[in-house]
Amino acid sequence: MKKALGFFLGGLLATGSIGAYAQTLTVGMNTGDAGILDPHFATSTSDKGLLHWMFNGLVRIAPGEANPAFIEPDIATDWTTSDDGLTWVFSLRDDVQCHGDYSNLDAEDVVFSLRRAANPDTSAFAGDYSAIDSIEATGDYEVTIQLSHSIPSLLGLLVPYHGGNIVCQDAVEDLGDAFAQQPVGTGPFMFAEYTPQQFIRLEANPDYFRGAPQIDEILYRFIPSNSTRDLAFQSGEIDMLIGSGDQTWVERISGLPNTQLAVMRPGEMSVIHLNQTMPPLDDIRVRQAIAHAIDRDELVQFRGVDVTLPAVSPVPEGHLGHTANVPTYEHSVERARELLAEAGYPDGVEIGSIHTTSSGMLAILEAVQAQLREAGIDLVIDAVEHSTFHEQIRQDLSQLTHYLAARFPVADVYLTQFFHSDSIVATPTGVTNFSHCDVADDAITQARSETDPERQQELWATAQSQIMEEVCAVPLFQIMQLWAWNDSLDLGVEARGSLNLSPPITELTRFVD
Amino acid sequence: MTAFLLKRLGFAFITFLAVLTIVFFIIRILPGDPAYAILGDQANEQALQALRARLGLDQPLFVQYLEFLRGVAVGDWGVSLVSGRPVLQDILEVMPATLELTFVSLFLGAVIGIPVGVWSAVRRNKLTDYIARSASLLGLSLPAFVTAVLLLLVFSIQLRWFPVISSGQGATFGERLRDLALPAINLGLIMAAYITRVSRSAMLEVLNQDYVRTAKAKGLSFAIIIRRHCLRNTMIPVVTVVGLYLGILIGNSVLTEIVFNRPGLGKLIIGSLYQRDYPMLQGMMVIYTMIVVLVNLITDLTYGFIDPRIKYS
Repeated sequence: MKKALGFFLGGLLATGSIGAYAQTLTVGMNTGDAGILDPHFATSTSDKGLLHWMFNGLVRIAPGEANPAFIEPDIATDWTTSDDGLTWVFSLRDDVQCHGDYSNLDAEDVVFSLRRAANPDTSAFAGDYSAIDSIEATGDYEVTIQLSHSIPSLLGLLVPYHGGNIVCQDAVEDLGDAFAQQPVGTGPFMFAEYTPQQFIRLEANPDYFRGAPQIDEILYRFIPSNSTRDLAFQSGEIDMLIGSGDQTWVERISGLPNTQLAVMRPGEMSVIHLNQTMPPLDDIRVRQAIAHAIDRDELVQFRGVDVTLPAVSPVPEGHLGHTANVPTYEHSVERARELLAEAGYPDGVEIGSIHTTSSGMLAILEAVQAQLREAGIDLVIDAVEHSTFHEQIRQDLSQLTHYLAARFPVADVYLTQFFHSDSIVATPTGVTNFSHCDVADDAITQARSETDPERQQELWATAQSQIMEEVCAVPLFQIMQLWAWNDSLDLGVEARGSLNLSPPITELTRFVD
Repeated sequence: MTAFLLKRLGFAFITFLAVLTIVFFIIRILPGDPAYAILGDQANEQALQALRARLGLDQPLFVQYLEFLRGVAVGDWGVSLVSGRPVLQDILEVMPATLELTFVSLFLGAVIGIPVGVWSAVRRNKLTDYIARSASLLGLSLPAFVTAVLLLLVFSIQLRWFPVISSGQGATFGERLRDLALPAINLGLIMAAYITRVSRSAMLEVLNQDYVRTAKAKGLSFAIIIRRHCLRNTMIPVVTVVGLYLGILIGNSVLTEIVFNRPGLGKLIIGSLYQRDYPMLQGMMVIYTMIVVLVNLITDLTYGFIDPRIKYS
């Protein structure tokens, strides 16, 4: 019996192999399954991270960077713009091949793709392209874009981030609805296989215009449990993983042998928005008191110095147009109490906040709550389920709103969505202006159509100063993107940032001995 | 028997319809907006309204309900709001993995739980009884995700006998068994703890019956008394509990599926709940209801095989 059991167990343990094949890169992602894989609809970190390795844009931000200052040619070889900045002509490469059996990519494909991105029926990002008047193929490999008015960064809209991902017309028309499950792009890796709740397999694209990738395939595994992902990395079953975003994870993963840790930008910006239409926050002295009561350095220590970057401006550091030269409010409990007394609240004040029960976010607000209490500000947190939180704060029900967000790294995006009056919540055009801030409307609007980069920078700086002067919000910090991989993997570039929320795996990426 | 079956099927249909109706409306009472879940937090109200219209979510609730019932009846369960894939296809792809895990865990639980429970009852208030009772209490007290992580730490990280990712996708029988081992042990041990306690108390009750005393007086050996006179009578409450617990086990597999990264219904329902994926949630509820109703029917029918005195009428 013992012999039979031993034989059975031996046979059982001998089957299969733990660990990846040499040229298969296995990635662990923190979600249970794939979502929508149409690049013109995908918004989740998981989906965007995967599509990052499959698509190109007319231009791109250099791999490993996240700042638009690093924009370089991708499918377009070069471009010209008219003096008024309204007409853009792009020359395209003629050697870009759509994945699989689909044809060479030409100007008609690019026109189709950009029109698709601008159409609300076929894109979640159509609003970004509202300034585009026309997109025409003016040659086999030439595209002309006509704008109705100047915008901060047309090139920013053409990087493979949201609608800038170029899709192949034949593939979209041929596959129909199935395109969202088996996307066809032009990038270094192409879709090969999907197993529900397990993985998506990408194969190297041998016809990639920058050269065939050096790794054969990517196995993108869906592993929602943080501890399982870490253990799978520790056992060598995955080569790369997304971090769980806290200091303890950084310390634990850094302690593993042969491990490379990456802290990448852009981060998620943590900001306290103060609703100016709700007493007592309609009094600027109360808002100033809150700003003085919050100890940003202590919060950074609490959240983890390796994973957070202190923020002083409503536009995150590292974004085009950011300035740190804004009014600041040094930490002073005494000053906060004085301001409250001046505002008529010598015995303190109570402020309500609707907040998500999501533990990572709630812990931050609870730390803020403790700091505010020292200054006599009683922050009452109404913790609700995450979807309810999003629903209720958009109905303008919260006095103080703590929000985490990552956006395309151009100042206009943050300023418009969070601080322009068009974006005030509970209005038809509302997005995420929870504070009802409108003091910077003129500067934001002027900067949007300003063609002189220096003047545009000045206007963005003015807007940031006005917002901080009015204390529409109190920026806390950025929470950076965390990834780790086995150091036998050479990405080929340094991973300082990633717009698409996953490390730059390109044709240069390879395993080294 | 036929009349009993028809009657039970009729009740099952009513239960099924009632559950679907309740679930349909509860899902829509839940806060949260699928359009928001799909478009993300940068979408404005106009874009959200356009998407709601495209998904049919702007239709009156009653119209949506009738459409849902029609879909269930004709097998058109719609497509996932999130992925665009047909709901039924997604469910059927992962359901075998959950059923496999559930039935193997149940088998393990029964194989361990029944003998231990019986032995524990026979050795009442002896050392073995105390050990069995303590072990089963521990098994019931430890949450499934804690035992799962402990199993992974010992058998996957320290000993490296089993993979951390139990994909259940192995090409050979051996590989599939290897993938299944830890998750099945994890759920099986919890099941065993439960069955041990039920078997013990059922056996204790049977041991006090007059016919057992008579058998003893006749001079039958203790082993024969247990095997021939007690065991079968002990099975009625055990089958009832197993039947009830099977439905719960399928639901409870979610934590095991997540920690061992196995595909399955549990992972699917959690994902669709977060995303407010109405068609997927509804599809899952149809499946869960079907399973529970079916298991209850099978449990009732099993009684007759265990105890011939039970007649179906």
